[in-house]
Amino acid sequence: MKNKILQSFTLILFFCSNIHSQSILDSLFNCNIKNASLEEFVAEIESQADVHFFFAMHQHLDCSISVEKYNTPLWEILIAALYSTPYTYCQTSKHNIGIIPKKSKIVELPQYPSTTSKTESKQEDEEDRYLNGRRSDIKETITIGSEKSFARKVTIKGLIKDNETQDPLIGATLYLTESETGVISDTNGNIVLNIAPGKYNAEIRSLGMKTKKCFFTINSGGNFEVGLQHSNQMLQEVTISGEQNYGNRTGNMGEDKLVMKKVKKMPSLTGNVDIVSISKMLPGIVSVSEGTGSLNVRGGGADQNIFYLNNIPIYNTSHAFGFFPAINSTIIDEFSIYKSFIPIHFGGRLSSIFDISTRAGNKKDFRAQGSLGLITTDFTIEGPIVSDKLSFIASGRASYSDWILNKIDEPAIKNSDMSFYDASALLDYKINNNNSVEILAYKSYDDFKNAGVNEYSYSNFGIGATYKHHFGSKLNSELNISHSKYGFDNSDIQFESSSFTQNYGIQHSEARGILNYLYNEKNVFQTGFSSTLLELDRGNLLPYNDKSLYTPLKLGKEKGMENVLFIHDSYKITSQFTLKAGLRFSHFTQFGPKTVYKYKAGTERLNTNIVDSLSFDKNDAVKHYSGPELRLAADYNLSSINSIKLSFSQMRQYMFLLSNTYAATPVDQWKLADYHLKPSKQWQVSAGYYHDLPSWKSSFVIEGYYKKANNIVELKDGADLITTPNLETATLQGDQESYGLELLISKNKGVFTGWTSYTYSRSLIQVDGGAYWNKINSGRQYASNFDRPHVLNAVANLQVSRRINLASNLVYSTGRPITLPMSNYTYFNIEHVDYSDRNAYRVPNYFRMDFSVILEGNLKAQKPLHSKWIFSVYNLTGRKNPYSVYFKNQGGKIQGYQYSIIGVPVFSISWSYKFGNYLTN
Amino acid sequence: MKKFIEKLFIIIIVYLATWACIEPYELPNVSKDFVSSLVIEGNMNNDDTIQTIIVTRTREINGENKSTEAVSACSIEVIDKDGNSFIFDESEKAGTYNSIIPIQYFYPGNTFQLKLISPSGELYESIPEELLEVPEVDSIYFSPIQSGGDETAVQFLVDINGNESQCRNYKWELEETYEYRSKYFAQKKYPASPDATNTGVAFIQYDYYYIDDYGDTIYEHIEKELVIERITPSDSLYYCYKSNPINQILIASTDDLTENQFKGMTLNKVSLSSGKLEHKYSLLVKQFSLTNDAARFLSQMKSNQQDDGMFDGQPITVQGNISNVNNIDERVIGYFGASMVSKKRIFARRYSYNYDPGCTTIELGDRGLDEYAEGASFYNPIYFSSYFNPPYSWLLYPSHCVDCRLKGGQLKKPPYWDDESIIMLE
Repeated sequence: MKNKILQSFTLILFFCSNIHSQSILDSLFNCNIKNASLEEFVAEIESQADVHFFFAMHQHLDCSISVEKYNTPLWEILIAALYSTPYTYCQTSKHNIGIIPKKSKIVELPQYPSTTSKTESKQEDEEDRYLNGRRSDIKETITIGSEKSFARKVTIKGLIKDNETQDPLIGATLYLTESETGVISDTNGNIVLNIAPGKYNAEIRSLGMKTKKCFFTINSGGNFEVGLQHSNQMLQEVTISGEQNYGNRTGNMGEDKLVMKKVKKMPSLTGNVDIVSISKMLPGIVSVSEGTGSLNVRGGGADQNIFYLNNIPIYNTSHAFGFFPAINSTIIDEFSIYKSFIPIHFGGRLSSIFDISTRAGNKKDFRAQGSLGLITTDFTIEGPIVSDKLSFIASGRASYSDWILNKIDEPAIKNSDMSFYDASALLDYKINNNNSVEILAYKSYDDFKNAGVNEYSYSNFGIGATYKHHFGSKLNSELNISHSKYGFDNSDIQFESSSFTQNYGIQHSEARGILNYLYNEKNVFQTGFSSTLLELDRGNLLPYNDKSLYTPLKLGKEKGMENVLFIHDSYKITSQFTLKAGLRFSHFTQFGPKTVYKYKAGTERLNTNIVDSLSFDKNDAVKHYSGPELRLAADYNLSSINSIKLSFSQMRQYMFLLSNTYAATPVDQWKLADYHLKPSKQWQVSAGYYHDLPSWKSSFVIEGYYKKANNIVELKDGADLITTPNLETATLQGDQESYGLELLISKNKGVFTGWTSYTYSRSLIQVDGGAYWNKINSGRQYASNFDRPHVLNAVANLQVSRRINLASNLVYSTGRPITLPMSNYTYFNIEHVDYSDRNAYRVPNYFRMDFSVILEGNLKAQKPLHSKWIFSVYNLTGRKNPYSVYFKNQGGKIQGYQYSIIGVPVFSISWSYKFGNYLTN
Repeated sequence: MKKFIEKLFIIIIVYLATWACIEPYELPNVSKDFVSSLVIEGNMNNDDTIQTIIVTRTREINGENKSTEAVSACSIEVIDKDGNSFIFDESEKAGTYNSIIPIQYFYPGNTFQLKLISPSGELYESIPEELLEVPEVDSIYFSPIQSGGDETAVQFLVDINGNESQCRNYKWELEETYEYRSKYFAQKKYPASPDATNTGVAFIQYDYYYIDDYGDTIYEHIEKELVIERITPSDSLYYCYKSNPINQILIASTDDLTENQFKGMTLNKVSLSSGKLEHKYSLLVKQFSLTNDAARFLSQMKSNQQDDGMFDGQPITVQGNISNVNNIDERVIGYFGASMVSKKRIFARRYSYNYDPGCTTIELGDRGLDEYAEGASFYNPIYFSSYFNPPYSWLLYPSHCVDCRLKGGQLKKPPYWDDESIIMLE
């Protein structure tokens, strides 16, 4: 076995160097380095001649290179340098040399059977296995030559190319099992082989491509062409290590990256993959309750997060108030959550950025998939418009819940409606290697009719384009333009006389340009701008019909603009130490038309205390706010498997969500910073330690943070948002303090994968504006609604077989804070209760366990429809986790009741299908 | 707002009803945080000549102290706009203070202010509260409520019809009075009351068999005369009248409306199964004017009364208009209000075919009336009808079938009961 490995090794090297006999590999170089990283070694060689190396970013972690050679051919230096590493090299063009894992060439090749057996070789990675399993029952046969030749050996010429781009593949290998011979393609993707006629099992491999297995029937000499598919591992891109993982914490501090095809195996409430609820399984992210679409990241309010879907801001990411996700998971490729060191081009929210990226449609074939659940159905179609250049993907989802409601024989319910849909479409145009354009449109809509009480609908609409351009190899740019609109219509029809209807809308238009300059391997600059126009129409309160006496009330519009310039540098000082520093400068202006009221000094901001007013015309600047945001991070690699990171981040937020309920709701209104309400500011320090355990295929992360925000907005007790034109009369501003420690252990590979996280954190708010009317809770600090000190999450996934996958979630957390009745008294002959300090007590602790089973259809390659069943149980133990507690007076005793939103195991079933059999996202 | 969102959520709740659940919750011990606060209730109005102010303290929730803790020995005065002072004296009921403010001081534009000195000497003052003109109570009517295809209740409603000079915030206080009836006339009673004058004799005879210790069947014939009381008239325990205040916070505002008008403010709901509407039901509606601040206080109080749902808001620390002059941070609960009042009474009647006052008669077979009366004190005294089938069978009524007073009402007819000028809703 060992012999074979070495044999293959030399074979490859031979072909690499032999084909390019006069290549750079024979040029003479000097090299004298000790314990250097791969990058340093490469930099040393590159400095001496026009030669470029390519390798995956993660590789450098594993290398320690020592070479002392002078006037030596490059190939000899490379052999010496890489001898003790898990890598080898391969020349891919005249001046380009790839550093590739030895494993892919050496370890696995000899495992292939030496007979023409059709059994599949066992592969470790489950994703590959899933793929191969359904592809290779019947191997493609490539027949060369028409007549049987009686020559002892014939010459065949082949072209190996990229199926998608049709580019020739350089350095691809063809290995024939029976003859144990291999050959490597040249710079034009050509291979030449002298071989006896006959039948062969062939294996064609290339870096970044999926391995292709086929039969060769060689009758006589001739030509053939073979196309390879892209694999998920694109070398020369940096996202490599995240691909096989659920999540990845090796990037920036406080960044979680989730890959859709992994997390979609997790159990869910309604059988729909929901990135919001998946996020809640990560450390530092909680919510007030299940069934709300809002998240709280590291102790921040629900309005301190923004969701970008390919750079389009989505203001409401859920249907039915939070029970269903509003973005179809089939179009999502991956999503990243930034919560401490936030990339410099993002800002505008204090706590986090959710960066969701869609995938592009297939550029070669048309594909369609969909699913049917108990409440919703969805469908996705994709394909090329211009083959290899322009593709589309479109998806839609709709509910059929109305008929369930109509089945219930109760007039109030029968006449009620609940329906929703969402749709998205993406065009991806690869103009050439240096230019690409992507256009996405998104829409979601929810409609509710609560017979005789109210009617309600809300919708998102967004459209955005991204243009990417490379100015040579060192400079590249990206331009995003997006427009997003969120709005709701809301009618209260309970009393005819006072019935009203309201329409509310917020429009967010954003342009962002980013320039990345790769000064050298160590130093990467980024600069850019962003400009956001926010137009908020609080709408008009209008009589619902002609019987209503409601006074039309114009709640007014708001307009603001946030302009940002930013610059960032990532500088690798030594192989171990990287420093990142960025500065954002943001400027916010509130524009007229606006009438600003001034209140009598030293009094509560109430309509009755107005003493003066200022009038601003259209587009007059009412108020300016501006300030810098500093982002600093330091990464120190202690060794190839562990590192320390530190970061400091400042954030500014110029808009707030006003909510007087525990959990954010779709009727909550956004409000811009204005004459009275100042923008929120925050700083955060965090530190983390990261440790990989390669032998366990696991990693361990511990991160701690402390952050402090001021000017966060809280509503006064009992404030009515809907009918208050001057919102400064309903709001107060205060400080928010949060800190926490997050531990995460994840196992990313193997049959069993998953993670466990524990978080200790606090989130505290203080509103103390001096006078009693400017205080909440008498000015004392109180726990926020989402302050959950202890949170333990576990996600486990077991691939039992190719067709059966089991997954389970486990959540334990401290109960949410509540305000309890402290005393009672009689007033109007009714018993009333008076309350404790705000959020001074807690509901009982939260525990939940979910379970799901995925059953795949059979693995045959050629079939018209592949389907799978997903069965899941949410809250398996049926624990009645209290969401809220309320009190009733029963015979003089105040009896508490706890209300659980989901107090039983919820079973759901969905059936997913796709036309054809291929790997989907 | 809160209510609105709650309603909004109903649809989801219904839809996901099987997922949600409600269970009793054990209130943790909160005594360490308990601080007793002063509670002052008072609303000066022209409905009564006697004005009342009630001073109590909050008590620990579910603590030892179950009853209202009255605060005695306060000195209270109420001062109007022109400085006229009205001293309140503590009544027989501890913590309840009364005074008479003559009717001429109740005119729109006048204000009342509370000054209260507690037993410990602290001075509390309210913000002066203005009297606003209140419109006459407009139409009162009801609409049937159906459930599962059957009418189960009626909802009483009131309209507001005010003009520009009148108040825009309203509060209603309700008092219901209804006639109800026993199921049966009581005609005879046994044993007769000691002071009964109209008595008679019931002749009873029956046959009696039993098996003795030796297994022989013994036969006896019994004949008896019992003294019974004749009740005249036979419906004297048949008609009762009962009044209840309806303790609900009922408020509405026309502040957001173009006119000082409102159609269909919901008052109380009366279920048909209660039997209150079966014969005659009367609702007295008192309409109070409120200032904006008073309306805000009441809506906060009302909001805290409501059950919570998923999108529930923070409980509100209700903010009244009374404070300790020397310690503004001391929590004082209560709003010293002043209102003009208009009132209106209506009658209503709604037959329910399903209503049954609940009464089981007993047919007494071969046992003696006297024996029965002695053996079952539950039926003592025993009422029975003129319908019986002597000598072998008596139709007996439990007392609650004939004596309507046992359900809490009184026999005396309210003076307005037969007033034909009062509107009858049917």
